[in-house]
Amino acid sequence: MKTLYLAQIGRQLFAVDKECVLGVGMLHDGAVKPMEEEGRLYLPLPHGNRAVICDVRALMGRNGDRISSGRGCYYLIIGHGEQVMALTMSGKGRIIMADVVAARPLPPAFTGQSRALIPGVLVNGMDLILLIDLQAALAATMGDVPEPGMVADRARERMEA
Amino acid sequence: MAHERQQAGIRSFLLPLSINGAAENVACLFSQNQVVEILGPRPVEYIPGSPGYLRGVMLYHDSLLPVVDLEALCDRHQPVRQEQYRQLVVVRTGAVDPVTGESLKAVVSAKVRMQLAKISGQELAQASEQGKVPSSLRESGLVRGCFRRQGDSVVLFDLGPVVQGTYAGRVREVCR
Repeated sequence: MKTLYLAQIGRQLFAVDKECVLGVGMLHDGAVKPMEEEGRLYLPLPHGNRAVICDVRALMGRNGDRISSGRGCYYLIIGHGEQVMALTMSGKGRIIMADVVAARPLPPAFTGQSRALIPGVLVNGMDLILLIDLQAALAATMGDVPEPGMVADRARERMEA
Repeated sequence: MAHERQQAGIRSFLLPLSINGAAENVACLFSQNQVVEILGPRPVEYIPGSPGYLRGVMLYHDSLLPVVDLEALCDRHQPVRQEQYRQLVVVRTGAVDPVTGESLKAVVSAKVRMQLAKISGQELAQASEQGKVPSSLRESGLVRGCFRRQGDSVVLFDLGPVVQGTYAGRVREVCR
């Protein structure tokens, strides 16, 4: 069993490893606004730090109903290596315990970036919880598309682990 | 007996498609054996980073199945449309998972209701004539056959490469 942070994005459920979560933030009136730099949005953090904003809805090609990155928006602040990422969420999210070994891979139809972003799916009754690979999410946000071979290698490593 | 059955026609399903640039109406043919179940609208989980022709995944009898949008598959140059669907059609693709050896199913999203049709053996025999495939569909490389029926083009798709994941690589190669 593993502790995961469950985030609702739109009407879908996504989960990330709780150990990577640095905190949850919400933009209020008068709070600092996201800033744009080289086509990417960054969320200013205390002590002069900043987190690149990752909008999963935009990665799904659903720009029309992407979550507003303005007032009232929730962010899940995630640390991954040296990078800090802010995942936009539809609500505060919550912590869950889940057996990640039981996670199923996506059907073979999904290859490349989609398989790298979502290495597994947890089935909880009628709900599906999509596990997010933070490295791939960060790469997609920064515009780095992984090579198909690299994706396969990473998936194999995960299966072996 | 078998001959009589052939004369009467083979019970099939037709899914009318809206294909940009197609001169005539196009419908996709599924045999009765191919169709596992026709479902009403239910949650489909979108997968980030997936191509436009894959609408997401759906849980079906404890299996995760890819949901395929045939119109987006035939019209890859058009921007991705997030249109509502009326039905979800669970189909056998005839392909197997190269890793597990399991037979692969897919879910086809249908904007309009599937229609029942009786197709004669003669019409099916004509379907092997690849020359009649509308140009907009020929590009997809997934058409098994095509024939004319009551003024419309009826197309048989091979969804094997799509569910096996080899089609995505083929599209990338073409795009390079």
